[in-house]
Amino acid sequence: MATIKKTPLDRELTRRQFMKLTGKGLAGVAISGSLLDLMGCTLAQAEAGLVDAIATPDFLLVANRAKCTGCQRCEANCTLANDGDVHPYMARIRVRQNMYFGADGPQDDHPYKDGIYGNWFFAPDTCKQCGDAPCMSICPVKAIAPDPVTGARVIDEEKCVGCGACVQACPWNMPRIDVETRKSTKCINCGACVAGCPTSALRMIPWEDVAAAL
Amino acid sequence: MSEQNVLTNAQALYQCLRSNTEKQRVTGHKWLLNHPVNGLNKEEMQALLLTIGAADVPSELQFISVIKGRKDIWYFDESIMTNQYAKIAALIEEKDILHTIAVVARNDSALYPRPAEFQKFKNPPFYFTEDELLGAQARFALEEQYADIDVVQASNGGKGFYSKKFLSPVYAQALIEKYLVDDPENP
Amino acid sequence: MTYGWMGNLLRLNLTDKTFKVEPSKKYFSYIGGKGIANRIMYEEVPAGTKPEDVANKIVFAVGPNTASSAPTSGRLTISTLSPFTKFNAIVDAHMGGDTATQMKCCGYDAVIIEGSSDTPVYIYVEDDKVEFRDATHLWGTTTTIATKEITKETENGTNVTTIGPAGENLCNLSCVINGIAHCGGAGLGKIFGQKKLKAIAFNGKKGVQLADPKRVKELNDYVMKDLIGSNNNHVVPTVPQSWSEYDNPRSRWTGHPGMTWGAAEGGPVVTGESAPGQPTLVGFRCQKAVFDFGAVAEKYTAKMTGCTFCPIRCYASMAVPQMEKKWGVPGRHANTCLGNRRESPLFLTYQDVEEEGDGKMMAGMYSAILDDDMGLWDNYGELLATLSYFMKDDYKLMKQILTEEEFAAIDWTKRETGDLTFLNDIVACLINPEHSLYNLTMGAYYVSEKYHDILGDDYLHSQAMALWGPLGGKRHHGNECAAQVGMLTNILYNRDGMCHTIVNITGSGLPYDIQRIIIEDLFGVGALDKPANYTPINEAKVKFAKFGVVRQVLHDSFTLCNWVWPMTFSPRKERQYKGDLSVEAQYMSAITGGDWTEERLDDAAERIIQLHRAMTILQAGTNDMRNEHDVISNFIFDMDPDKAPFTEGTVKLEREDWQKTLTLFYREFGWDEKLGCPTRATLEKFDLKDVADELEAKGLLPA
Repeated sequence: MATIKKTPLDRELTRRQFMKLTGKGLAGVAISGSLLDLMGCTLAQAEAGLVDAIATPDFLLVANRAKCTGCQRCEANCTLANDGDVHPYMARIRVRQNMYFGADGPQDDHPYKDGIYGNWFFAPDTCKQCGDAPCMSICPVKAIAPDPVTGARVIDEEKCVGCGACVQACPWNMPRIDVETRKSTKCINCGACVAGCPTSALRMIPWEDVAAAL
Repeated sequence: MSEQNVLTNAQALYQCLRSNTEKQRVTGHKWLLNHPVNGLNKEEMQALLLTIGAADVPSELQFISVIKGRKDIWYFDESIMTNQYAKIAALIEEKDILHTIAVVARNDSALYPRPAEFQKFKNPPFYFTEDELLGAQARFALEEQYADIDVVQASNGGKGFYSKKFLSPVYAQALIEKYLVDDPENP
Repeated sequence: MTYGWMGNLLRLNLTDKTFKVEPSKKYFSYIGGKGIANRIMYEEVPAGTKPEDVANKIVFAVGPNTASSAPTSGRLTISTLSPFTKFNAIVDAHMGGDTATQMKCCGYDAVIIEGSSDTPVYIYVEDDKVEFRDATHLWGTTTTIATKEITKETENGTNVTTIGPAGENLCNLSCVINGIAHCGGAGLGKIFGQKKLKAIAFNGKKGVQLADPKRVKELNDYVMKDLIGSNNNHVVPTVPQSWSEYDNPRSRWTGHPGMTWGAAEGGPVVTGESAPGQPTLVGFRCQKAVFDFGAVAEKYTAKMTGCTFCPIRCYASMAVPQMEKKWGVPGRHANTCLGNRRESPLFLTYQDVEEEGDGKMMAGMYSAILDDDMGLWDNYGELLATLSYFMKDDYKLMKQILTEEEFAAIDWTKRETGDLTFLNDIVACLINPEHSLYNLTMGAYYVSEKYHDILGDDYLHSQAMALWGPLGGKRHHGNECAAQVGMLTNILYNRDGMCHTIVNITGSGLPYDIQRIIIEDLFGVGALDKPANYTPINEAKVKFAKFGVVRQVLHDSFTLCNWVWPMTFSPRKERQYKGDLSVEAQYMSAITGGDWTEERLDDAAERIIQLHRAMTILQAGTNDMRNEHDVISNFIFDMDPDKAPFTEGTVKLEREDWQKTLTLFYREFGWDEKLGCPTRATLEKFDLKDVADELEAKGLLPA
């Protein structure tokens, strides 16, 4: 299908339209069938709040708990693409911490909670590229700023002093301080995790496609 | 949509055949004559269909392949469907259960080699019921053209159709036991 | 910088609770995994050591490919002395889950566990931080509870490898478990228990350095798009699909349109078609719950899980709420293959709850949950076979080995009514050293030794037990898989062989002639017989068998999953279904920066087989492997009494042909053709002069 290349302004308009529509999440939102197809989930999954649809500046990032199998290939592909090594701890997308007992860790009623010691439900934590990003605003040296092209909140390694304030400020602690370089590192929306997810639990949907489906 | 008006006849036909192929289906010649594309009449549609497989086939239709069934001619897009699958899809469209089972049982007996398990025919794309299969088993014995088709049963009760042209009864028996009992017990 | 390998090994001494980090470089020529672990066992555990001795060690080892991001690179090899087979020689456990990755990311190519603690301990490793922690409060707990408590005491996401009560009580058939159901067998649970080691937990924060990460990524894409199929690298789907030329109902490529993970969160996830060339759909190919339990399991499949970095998700992860109501256990577990069956076939009937067949499925899950919680190891069905053997003929043998009180205390009628609590009763006795049933967890060889007066030779050699030989290992893809070829892949080991190279080919789902053309091209005319219709031995078959074990050992060392690799075939018709056997060597070069060819890597793997063979000879104290070690069970020759060998429909072997097979196999490995032991020349060719010297000093080199 031939699509006319949209401008960043069009993308931003679609993103705002989507965010207005979905508010804080997909639960209870009437989503078109074609958008569900793009997101690779069912209405029931979206309504149950299982699908994390993150409106990043460049695209809609979808993480579907129902399809995540815990293979951690997203973690490997993240550092393979960005750092040239395989370093799950440093990955900017992380599933291991949620995989065994869910994000809250072991509970006495673990068979009924998230994780493989429980109900099998879990998914990776991803950077939300927040509009008003706490990592960005707290950085004492203003090392985090939106990338002019992708809109992702990106760390300038030259400026970063590795203080870790961004890690603490992030509600999901997504940035990591590299033990060797002592610099902070975070998701730049490169898409390596999505391209390598063997069950399409992760998807990146360009705003152009979202606009067509909305 | 207004866009459709700009499609050539060959493009319109391709779109129709491609769309059915994507749904894992082959498209019948008879049905196409009754549902011509682009507002063509039957004769024009017939002429268009005749170009498929001919030397002067329009480039849009170069990936369309043909299966000659017993009841109809069937078209599919070979770039997204294999000839082997199309044959099965055509058998399913023609709804002759004896012929379908016999073709598949002969193929499996000769090719893999193995009897064609009853379970295979209960699975997609066949979706035959146990009763239909038992009925077919009984009817095979009465028809000369299916004299080569027989059934073997494994020790767990599972059954398969095979062709005596390609497998001896002893070998067919050993293979159904291997595939339904021995291999599952030694996974 | 070291690429691929981490460059260090961790030595843990349980006696004095100390640890030492040592360079691992001297072991790089043994690749990793099995190679490193076997070599360390050779150097550090003197021949003649018993598994129960303090001098016995446990070696965890990974290789350059482990956690490299290569598909299926999450495997770990653990070596120790076998407590459950004749000679107590070297055995390896192959464990999946997340332990291999976490251990490697802690910075170690190998972890050596030595000595013995007086009181229960567990070890927590977080990179350079190593702590021996008291485990008194965990002794007696299930593997699930131990994991939960250790996670609470450490950090969420820590990988815990632990024993259960079976290991603590020193059952020979006991294992370690990580990630709820990933098992390391080989009697490891007992060796942990003997050393009072409850668990080892890894929380790795380091990265694996790759010489050419771009090339590794390209190779990953190549494997994912063009080579990989499903579990066991089955390259053909179970049902006809529009993209496929072939189908095979026995294939593990069970995903297809309409097939779902029926109990997925928020409603069924459709597996759909996942035609070759689509890496983001590969994980939907293996719907293993349906393969293992039947169609009834589809709606109870929450999702598929598996080992780290593996796109082939072979662990059927089930949620069966009815189990709680019916049997009082949360119906949640995962496993694969025989792991989903365990001792459940002991029941004569099953209690269905909602539909026909769900009772049998629940029995399999119930048994798996119980065994995994207790850390009881089924030994590829040997425990089930032994129990069945002793229960047959109205419990004739059982009555002879149990006291009257013991026999009367068990409600055997539960077997007939399908009351799953029977398994609790039996397992409680099996893991209780005070109970006579405990003796049936010794492993078949020791069961036969202990009860030889009532069993004679029949038990060890029977088709019901299906051991590869009286040494006590289960037959694992033996003569029923490519006849002599499969059988040869069993005899090298001191347990079940677990070689999948050959069965991945014969079970691929492709028509015989397509398989034959590719295999004959590799190994010569006559290499691959028709299924259940085989011919006398020839050199091509022997070469094929050797390839099978060499690649298996390569995968166990590299590490890769031999349940999927090698990529002998491809699902792509454009490739005429031909895979690529050079991929391992290409990975080795890209990861380590070395210049590796297929031949060079195969040689490195063969060297490990030579070492393993020599270690077996040293431990056995005899070099007559033909008559003392490689002996196969009588049933393999005597099955199908109404059929003759080399006729259609049987895989029974022929005695004279088998002896000739051994001779050709020994020749292929450069061993003494009469005895089956390595010669000095062969050992020196593989740079194992020190091993040859030790064999010579002990009179174990051939004349």
